[in-house]
Amino acid sequence: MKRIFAILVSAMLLASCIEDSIEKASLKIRISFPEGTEQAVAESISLEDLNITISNKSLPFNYSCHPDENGEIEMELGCGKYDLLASVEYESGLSANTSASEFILTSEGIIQDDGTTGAPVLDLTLNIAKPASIIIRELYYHGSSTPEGANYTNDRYIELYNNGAVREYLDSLCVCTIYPHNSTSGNNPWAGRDTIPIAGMCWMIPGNGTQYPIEPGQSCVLAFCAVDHTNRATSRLDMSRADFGFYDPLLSKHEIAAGIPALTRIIAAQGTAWTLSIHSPAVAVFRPEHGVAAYLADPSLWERYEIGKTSGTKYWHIAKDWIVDGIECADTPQKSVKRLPTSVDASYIYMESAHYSGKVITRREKGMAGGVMKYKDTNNSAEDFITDVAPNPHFNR
Amino acid sequence: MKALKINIIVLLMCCSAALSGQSKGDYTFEKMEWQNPLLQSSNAAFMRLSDTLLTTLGGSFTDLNAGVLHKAGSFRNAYDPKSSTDAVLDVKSYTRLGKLYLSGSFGYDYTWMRQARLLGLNEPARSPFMLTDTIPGNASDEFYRLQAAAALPLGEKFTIATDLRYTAGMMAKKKDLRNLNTLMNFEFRPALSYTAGPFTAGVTAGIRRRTELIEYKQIDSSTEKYIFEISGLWTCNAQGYSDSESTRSKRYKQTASYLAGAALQYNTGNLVWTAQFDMDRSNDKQGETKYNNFKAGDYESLLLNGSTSLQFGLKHRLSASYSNEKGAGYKYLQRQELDPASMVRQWVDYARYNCYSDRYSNLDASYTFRQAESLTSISWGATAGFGMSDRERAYTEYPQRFCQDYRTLSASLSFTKYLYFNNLNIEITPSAAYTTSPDGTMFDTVNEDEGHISITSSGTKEFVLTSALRQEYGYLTADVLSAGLKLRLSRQLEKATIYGVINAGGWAGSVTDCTDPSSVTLQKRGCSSLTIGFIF
Repeated sequence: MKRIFAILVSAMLLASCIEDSIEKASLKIRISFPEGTEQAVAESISLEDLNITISNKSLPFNYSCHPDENGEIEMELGCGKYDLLASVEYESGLSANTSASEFILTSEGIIQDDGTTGAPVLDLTLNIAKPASIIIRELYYHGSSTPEGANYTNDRYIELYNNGAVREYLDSLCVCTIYPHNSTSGNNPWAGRDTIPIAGMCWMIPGNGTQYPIEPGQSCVLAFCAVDHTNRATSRLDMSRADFGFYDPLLSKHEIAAGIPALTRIIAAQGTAWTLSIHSPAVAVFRPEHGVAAYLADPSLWERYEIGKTSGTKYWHIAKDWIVDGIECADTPQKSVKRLPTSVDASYIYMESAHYSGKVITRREKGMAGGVMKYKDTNNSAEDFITDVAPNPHFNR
Repeated sequence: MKALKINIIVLLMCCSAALSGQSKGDYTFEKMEWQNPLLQSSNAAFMRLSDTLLTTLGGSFTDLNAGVLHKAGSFRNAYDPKSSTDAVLDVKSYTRLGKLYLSGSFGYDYTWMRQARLLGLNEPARSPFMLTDTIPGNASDEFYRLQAAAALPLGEKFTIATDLRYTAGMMAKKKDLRNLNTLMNFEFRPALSYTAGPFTAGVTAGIRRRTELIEYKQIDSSTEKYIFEISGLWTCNAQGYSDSESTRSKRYKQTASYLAGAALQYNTGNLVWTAQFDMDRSNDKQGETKYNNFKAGDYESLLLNGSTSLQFGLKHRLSASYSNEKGAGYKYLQRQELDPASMVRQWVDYARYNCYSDRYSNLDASYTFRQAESLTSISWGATAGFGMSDRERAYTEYPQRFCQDYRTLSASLSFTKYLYFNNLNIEITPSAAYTTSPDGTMFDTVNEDEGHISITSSGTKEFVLTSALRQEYGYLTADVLSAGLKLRLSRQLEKATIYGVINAGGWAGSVTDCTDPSSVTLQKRGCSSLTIGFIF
């Protein structure tokens, strides 16, 4: 009887032990220059200058460190889900970055896309940022509300800007969002590929090649509905002053004021309105290498099913090298798997305000040069943009 | 509700007529515990030890009461309302049917709360994980509680018993972001006891299941609201809330508990020594109710509680208890992946890691002296008590670690004077207590790899709900002086005893701001209650 009692008590105590230990995981990061990097560029960038920021996706804080001269660093972190961004910017304007989006680190290694566990090593290739002339200066996607308090999304816009030193032409410049419409947590089947899928419709600025110039320091506002929203929305934006409108007579939800040129809808997709996510769009501005007509003439090359499928929805793709500028907008850090390649946007940006806040993201000013304002452009939206600010589109009318 | 009402009536009808020569109203559960210290133990088989007392009481004892309790004041924990009013209906009964011992209770309470916040869960202190908003508003909750136990002697020595408890309730906040919580608790405990001469031993084991469903809603969409995911020690992740069918937050919390207990008693009549041991091992899981397998976190806890008492006759009682609770919080590493079979995005688990720990221990001791001639004939009584507690909590995302610890010491004194006038009995009980916290740290931030990695906040968001952390720590570590007065009047009627209890009390807490130790504020809180009941 005594022995049975002792065994029962021991079993109970053993079974009820609470484990309380912190599991650490090793992580090794190796950063290298891309193949074919010019000697002069490689010598201008010291890998030790790279600032590595590892964002903890559980709580909003970051870990910062620097690699050695070989671009390597080894550290111990807790098991968790992280984003990694390594970047450097020099006063000369030269900048480089690389990133690893949402990786799960366990005590046994990094979880791969196929669900297996790989070695705890991140091999990353630097993107040497090439500042573009045409950039997205301001993006308003959150929407606002009507004076009665209902949600309102017709007042949204994308503002382009000539950040370069010479006149550029907007003719045949295309605007789209990248699939999936909203940022997610999890795997992106198109990650790491040279082409990326367009989500739904795609629009093009019309013209004969020299019809729509944009001077250095000049903006071009593309309005979702190019009408006056002053009395319709709490944003009180007058989009009848925009330069272009996203308008097609077949899209019942779009409007345009008289005298404003309409963008051309080059990929129709479905629906009665262009789907610009209020949560987390990945916006891209691009120009096909051989022209829009040649691009659209070859759907067998550019229109594909989702990876691993042979039926269902087909998506038009674009080559990542065609992208002039892009912004990766995430809903929250917990839902920020990348859609745009790191050469376009090394990181992501997210709004802290709630949806329909009427606030925008806008690019940071770098300073005046040659009499015009220059904006920060390191192909890293986390560094290049400010979030949750009041809209301030620069109209030409 | 109708079925519950019928059951109460049946229970009351089982009660026998009032015993002759002595009034049932002279007895209270507090007095009956001097005859059987194991009366309100978790082991229902110990009801058999009240056999003699039940015979004296005519085979049954029932206490039916209703009351109102009101609390108000600034001295409160982070999730306590500024004021609350609680309406309670309670009935508790013991009876014997032949050889079978039965006990049962039914309780209903409705609470109005004013300026309550951080009530994402009905009992926020039970788990480090919580989805909540921070805007104070009015709230209310409503609970139904049922308990039934039965004990059956098997011969002279053994008794088997079973105890069932069921609670159902709802809680709702009346201001955006407003949450509606639906709760259900169920507990089942079989038990066994063995009596041989002066010795009695008993064991019990059981299971408890708690389920809570929480749904958030926003009525006024013209202003921004934020919702906070709390992960332990008030660390948090905040995001803007948008109310739609697909984005509405629906959370579940399920707790499975395994219970065990053992007790030993040595009773010679004049000397009663009792020792009890209870264990509660709980696993708590939180996640989204949508069919996507999202998990917010697990919390595992082990509570060990031991108590002992030594009683000499009806005059002296020495009691001591010690409890130790250890808890560990876990987060899941999940990734959202497309399931090719169902074409639905699901959260897939890859690992679970320990992020939170909580250790709490408490020691209490007290001595009671009563000038008593019998269980019901008492002139006066006094109790002096002492207590100490120790707590350590930590939240870790290595190499970042946040720690909190504190200790408390308390002393208490109460005195009861019993007065008897013909059919009217009066008990007057003044009491006082003092609690102090000799030392502690509210929030220590440690970088365990300081030479290698620097840690900064990202964005403009704070990752700790500082206001809640400071209010909670200030409340738990304040120097508190409390005082109370209880007045109980009872009068024998023809077939029952009517009684009324008036309670009034207050706390004054000297709260120190840990970020500025020179800043000390005096906060107060008071409570009062009125209860009217019948004993038959």
